[in-house]
Amino acid sequence: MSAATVLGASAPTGLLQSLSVDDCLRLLASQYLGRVAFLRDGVIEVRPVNYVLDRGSVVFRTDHGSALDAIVGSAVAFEVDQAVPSSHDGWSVVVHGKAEEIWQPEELDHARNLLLRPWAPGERSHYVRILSSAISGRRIT
Amino acid sequence: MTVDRNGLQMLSSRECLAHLSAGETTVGRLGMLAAGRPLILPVNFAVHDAALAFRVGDGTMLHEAVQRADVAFEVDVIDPTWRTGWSVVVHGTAAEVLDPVEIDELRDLLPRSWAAGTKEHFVKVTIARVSGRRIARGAEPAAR
Repeated sequence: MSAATVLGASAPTGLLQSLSVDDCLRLLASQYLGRVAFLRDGVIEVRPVNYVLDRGSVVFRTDHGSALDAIVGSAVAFEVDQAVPSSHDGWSVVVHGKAEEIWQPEELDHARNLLLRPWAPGERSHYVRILSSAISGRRIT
Repeated sequence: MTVDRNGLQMLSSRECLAHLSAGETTVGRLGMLAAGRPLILPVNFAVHDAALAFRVGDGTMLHEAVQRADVAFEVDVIDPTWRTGWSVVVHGTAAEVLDPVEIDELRDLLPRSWAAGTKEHFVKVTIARVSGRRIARGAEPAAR
């Protein structure tokens, strides 16, 4: 059984609990795979991305292309969740904010050091930070 | 085999639908517009009658938002150690299921929703467009 199934199955007997911002940040820092929702030409898109939580904000990488153009300078929503099968526990955290490309040299060096994962050869990576305007989360226990 | 600009293998529609139907995961992430802004949240889903179906709680923001809404629905299975897996994105229109027979079928089919205890409704997303990628080692997921 997948963790997700356990998470879902636990819900009817469980309680939904809102998480504090501190808890949300702690949970965000514990993961590295999230999903970002953004608008491209008026159409909603969702993509999985590797990210890190850096100084309280979400940083991820994207290649040069239409997604980057759509994301930078725009409002995005970013979601991370996790189910814990052994404890029948699960949570979801959502960050809303404006996405900005990291371009200042010192900041860019910093971002590169955060996200060391290899990338396809020849690709130009761009780094994006979400300036969060709202952060919310919930846990099922 | 078709590859995208990052060398990721593109999945055919048939492969995408096979992944969605195979029960590898029951959680997807629903993306939609609410008040002109993107919104995203996880939902337990199942494939039913060539559409994606999920539950929503009565009177929730989601219940309001999904009425005839254009949505994106993303499902992935990504191995944390090897960074391999797949991601599929469906675009379509969400609408509440009103047929009692279909509601009964979905009640049996769908895992329980995250929201506990409230009256439930059922929503289906008709698949207008589907795309997917295989994520291989060394080519991590990134927005594109």
